[in-house]
Amino acid sequence: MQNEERLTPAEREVEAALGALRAAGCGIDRDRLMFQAGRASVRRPLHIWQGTSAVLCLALAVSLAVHSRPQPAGRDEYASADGSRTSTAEVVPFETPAVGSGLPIAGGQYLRLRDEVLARGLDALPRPTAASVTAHEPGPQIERLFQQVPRASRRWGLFGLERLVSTGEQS
Amino acid sequence: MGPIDPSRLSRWFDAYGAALSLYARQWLEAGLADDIVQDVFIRLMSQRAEPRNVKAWLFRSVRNAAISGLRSGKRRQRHEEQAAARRPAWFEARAEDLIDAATAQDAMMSLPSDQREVLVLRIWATMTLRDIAELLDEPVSTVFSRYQAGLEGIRNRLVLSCRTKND
Repeated sequence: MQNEERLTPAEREVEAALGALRAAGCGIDRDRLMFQAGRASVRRPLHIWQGTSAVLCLALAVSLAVHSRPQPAGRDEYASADGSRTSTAEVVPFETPAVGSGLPIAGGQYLRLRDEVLARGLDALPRPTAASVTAHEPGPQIERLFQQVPRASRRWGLFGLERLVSTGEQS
Repeated sequence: MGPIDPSRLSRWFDAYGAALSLYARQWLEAGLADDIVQDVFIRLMSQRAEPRNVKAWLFRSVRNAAISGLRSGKRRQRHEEQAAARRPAWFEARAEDLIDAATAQDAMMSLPSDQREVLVLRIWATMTLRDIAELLDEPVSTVFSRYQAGLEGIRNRLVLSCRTKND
């Protein structure tokens, strides 16, 4: 190095004499150092795994806590094209019905009913209750039209219905 | 860079262990200096990746730890007590030495600490002036001035020692 070239011969002599001296060995137990250093190098990956597991557990706990909380009824807001809010609609949380709560056939009765239907036909099906009948809308329009067909013509079936629709007569 | 291969520690210990211990003894007594050097080697192995310049990292870590240790009142008190009780040898005494080891140690101890530090790093740690400047966070010219002044101080001390012996 350029700086070191500026040393005087006397300084170089001292430098050489000092350089010939050997530093006294340190009192470190070599084997113990190697053991401790090896342990330190192994401990680091363990810390990484422990940290990763802790973070994942925390994330899982937070996720479970958030999803188990009941969702409050919210309001959806709609915006028109010009950006103004036009209407809101209350959003009612969907409730999943309990299994078998509204079904006419519960649990293991289904298999028995199926066997009876296979053996006796549709007559084996249970009669609908009054509540279930009134709960339903009237039959399709074609059935109501069919009622208007004169009794005598009903035997013609769809032909009579077609005639009624095309001529508009009710005889 | 990946994790440090433990087998390399042995090589680093052989190459720098004694110089690191000598360096730490500029501030602390031998026992504490060795403790610090050992801790630094263990810390090196717990690093996620190998430092870019392992030698510079080791000397910087030892320097920081030694100065920190010196600042600790408890350690300073212990250091003073042990230093008063005995003076550990810095150099091995060998027949072929050009300077007596004990005389060299006396001469070194008489130097200002900043000059002594540069001498240790340049001669026994075989660091370049540029590396020393980087380690000490000083300009190279300042480091060279300290080095030159340290050599001059040792020479004067040795000349004085020779004159005293001859008289």
